[in-house]
Amino acid sequence: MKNKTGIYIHVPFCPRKCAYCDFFSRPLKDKSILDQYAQALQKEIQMYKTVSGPVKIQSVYWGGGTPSLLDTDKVSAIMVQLRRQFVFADDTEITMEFNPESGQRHRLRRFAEAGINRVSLGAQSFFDDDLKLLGRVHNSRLVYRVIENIHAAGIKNFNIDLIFGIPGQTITSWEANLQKAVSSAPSHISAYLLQLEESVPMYKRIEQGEYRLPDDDSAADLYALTRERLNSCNFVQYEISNFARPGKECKHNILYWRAGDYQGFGAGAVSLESSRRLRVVQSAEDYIGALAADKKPDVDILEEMNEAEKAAEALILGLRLCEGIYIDEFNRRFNTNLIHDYAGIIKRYEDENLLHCEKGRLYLDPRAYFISNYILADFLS
Amino acid sequence: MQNNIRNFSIIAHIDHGKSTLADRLLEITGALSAREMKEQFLDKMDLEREKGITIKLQPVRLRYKSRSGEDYIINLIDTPGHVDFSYEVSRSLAACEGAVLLVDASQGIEAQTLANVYMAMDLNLEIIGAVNKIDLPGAEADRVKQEMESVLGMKPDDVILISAKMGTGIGDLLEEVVKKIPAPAGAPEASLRALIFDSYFDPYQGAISYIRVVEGSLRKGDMITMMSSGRQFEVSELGVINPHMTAVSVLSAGEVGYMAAGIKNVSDTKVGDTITKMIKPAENPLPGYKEVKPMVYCGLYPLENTDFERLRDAIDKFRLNDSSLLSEPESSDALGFGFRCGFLGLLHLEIVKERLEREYDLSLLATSPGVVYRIMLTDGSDIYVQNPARWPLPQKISEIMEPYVKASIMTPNDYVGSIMELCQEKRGTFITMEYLTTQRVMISYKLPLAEILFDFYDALKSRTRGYASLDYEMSGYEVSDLVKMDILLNGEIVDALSFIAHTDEAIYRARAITGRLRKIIPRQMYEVVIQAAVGSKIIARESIKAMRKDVLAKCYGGDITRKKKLLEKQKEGKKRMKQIGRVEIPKDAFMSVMNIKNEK
Repeated sequence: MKNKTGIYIHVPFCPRKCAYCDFFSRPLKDKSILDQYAQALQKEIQMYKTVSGPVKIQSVYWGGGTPSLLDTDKVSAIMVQLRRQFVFADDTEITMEFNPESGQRHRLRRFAEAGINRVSLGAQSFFDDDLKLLGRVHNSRLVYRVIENIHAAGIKNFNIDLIFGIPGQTITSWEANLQKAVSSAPSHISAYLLQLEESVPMYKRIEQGEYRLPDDDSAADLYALTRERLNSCNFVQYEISNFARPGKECKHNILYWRAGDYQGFGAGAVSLESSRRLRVVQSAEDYIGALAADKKPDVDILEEMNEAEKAAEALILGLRLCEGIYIDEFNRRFNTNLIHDYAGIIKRYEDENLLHCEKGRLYLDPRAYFISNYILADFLS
Repeated sequence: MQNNIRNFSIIAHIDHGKSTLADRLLEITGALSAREMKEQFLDKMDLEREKGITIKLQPVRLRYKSRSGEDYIINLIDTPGHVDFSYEVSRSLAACEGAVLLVDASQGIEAQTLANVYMAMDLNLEIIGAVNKIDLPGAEADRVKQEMESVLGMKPDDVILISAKMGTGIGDLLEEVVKKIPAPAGAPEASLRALIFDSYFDPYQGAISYIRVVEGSLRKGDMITMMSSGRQFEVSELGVINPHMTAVSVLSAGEVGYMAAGIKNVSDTKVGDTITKMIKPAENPLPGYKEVKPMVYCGLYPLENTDFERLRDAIDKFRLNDSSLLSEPESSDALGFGFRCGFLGLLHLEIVKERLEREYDLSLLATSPGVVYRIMLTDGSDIYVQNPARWPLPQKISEIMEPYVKASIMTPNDYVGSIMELCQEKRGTFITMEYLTTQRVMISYKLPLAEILFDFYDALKSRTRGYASLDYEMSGYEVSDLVKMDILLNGEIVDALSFIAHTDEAIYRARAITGRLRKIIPRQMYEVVIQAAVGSKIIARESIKAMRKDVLAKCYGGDITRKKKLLEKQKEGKKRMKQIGRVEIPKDAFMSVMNIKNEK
């Protein structure tokens, strides 16, 4: 526990569920649950026992769902509670995910006052056709407005989420999206290929032939364009789907990819405690109920990893980062010899020029990013 | 007691209802309680139940009280119907005095009906005819009875009408069995002669043999001699299968049962061998079985090279239960060490491979199946080649011969035209055509075995809406114009994919196969070029573009567990691939090379 440098807070409510979303969230019917939920969050944090001599918290991430739906005062109170419980660094990154429909100017200001210093905007696209197809509640006008609001609220550090590979999207419309995102002057852009779980409504519609996802070659073309455009605008790629102004990489997400420990709060929130991955009960009612009765919510153990499994996980996550794995650090951490243990696989992909082992780092060649599963699968023992 | 023993097999064309009849007999004679009863009870293997076919013969002992009040012991041997397993049928019949011939009331006599009847006649068995499935709407019992009269010479009045599914007529059938089939003749006081008609390997007891005592008697504790090898053993357990294995102290002339004698060495118990006693041994063994000749060969390789020894051991043990499997070690540049194995047909190949994988926990790769060619060399000698990789250089070949079969196809007369067309396409030569009845025709063709093996049967079924049936027997070697075709991946010959084709068909085959490989080889990290070549001449080419997308776009804290599972699944998939040079090939690719169905 003493190694946790990140905190994740999950808010599982949305105005409505998007057609492609498979995260734990649900449509918000009764707004009163939001305050109860915030109350419960505060209680859960309060009940969390910090071990003496904690390391400093480097990042807090409010994710969801749509955390920006919460009352600003409640968020403020929770932030105060966190600071009581944990020691924050001077420059702790505190991100909140925003959806355009809940990004009014005064709210953004109030959140900023509560300590939110980074915003991640779920814009997804600047085109109404795309947004409609994705089942988003917002339209492109709202996207532009909320970007204005973010700037007006003085939040310099913000990310725009974009999705590519949407049915009907063309190279041209995607290029325009990238252009509009860059013009919005964010510090960070995430560009994700649309990938659907079988359980989401959009998957069924595609199965039924209502519309089609782009084929592998078209998707790869879109990805190549993304990398080329963003890198040329000085949004430097640092992970398979993430680009940032130098120094503005998302600390919290890097913590995930470095397989670092973090504490999750809220229904469905996941925590990592070295070898164990835990998840709080995936039911807002159960969660609220437990905490209202001064009890800890149920927690499931998702995974218990032995040292080798943990190392393999760190490897497949770390290789998502453009920097890759720092070999010495990795060897010390897992008491192993990375280059020796995976000699055959490393050699094979080095020969293909898809993997590099240089300057103390093991990292993927950019050509390998979009086919990285093929390589990462081999590293799973 | 010997007078009240009856031994018989059920014989029929595939799917005419043997196993269902066996189920009913078990039920009616009370061998199984209703609770124990399940469909295809005697098909012990999961594989048999999954595929709904019988692969192995299976003996069972039933008690029956006849209508006249007499008690009988009936030994029934359930047999497979598919032509690949006719060897199992012949062994079963040799342990019997009679056979029940089942004919489907809507299908009538089919090719294997005849083949099986001839086999039973050769052994002088009493044959009882029965028309099955009379409950079906399309049943034409009278017509089928007529067919049985005109084709097999059976008196219509003697043919029993049954529905094994509904249980109709089963009592009448049992009465016929005890009335018509003779009791076993062998003298119980004579020197022991018992026929081993099947066996399998039990990890605790060693080889378990199914035996038919022909003369004399055998007791637990007896010292026995295997007549072919002279090896001696002490009988540790004797029993009958009723249908559970039940130990008995003695098996006498006429009885069928099982025997364990601590035989650990697989080669010491040969199916078809005669068992006698050390004291007062018999002078001559029983006739035994003809050695079966495999029709089709392929290489079996462990997917993991380190499993070679385990495969060797598995094949050894397996041969006890299926002596028709032949094997010898071979090696391939592409696949390492494995075995060249001979099979009775493609179904047999498929079943053996799957059984080896399941029963011995192996992951196997089968190379493209082929027949045995006879090649006359320029130096005057001749060789038999089972493996295309061992094909001699063209300049050393003076003549190539390939095996031919005589195929008998039975069909309603409507389809005669399309069948003849098919046989011509498959390089067949017409022999005869015979009207069995006004509706039913038997056509005989001489055809290359290789053509029959691969897609002939499916083509026959599809062109006759499933009405035609096929049986065939080897007829010898004939000169043929054949070439060896190599498959190259990124410029390198993959020896395990080489095959033999008729010159006229070489280009079509080359195209079909390269096209097929293009479909089944997944995109790799680089372009893969597939070529087919005869000698140094490339006659077909396809390419698979490099893989461009295989990615998890999003991977954050909450979904790492799930994403890892995806990658693990992918890794499992990769394990089913064989790495040949830089190319990963699905292990089924090798088999499917030959499996080209009417893509002409």
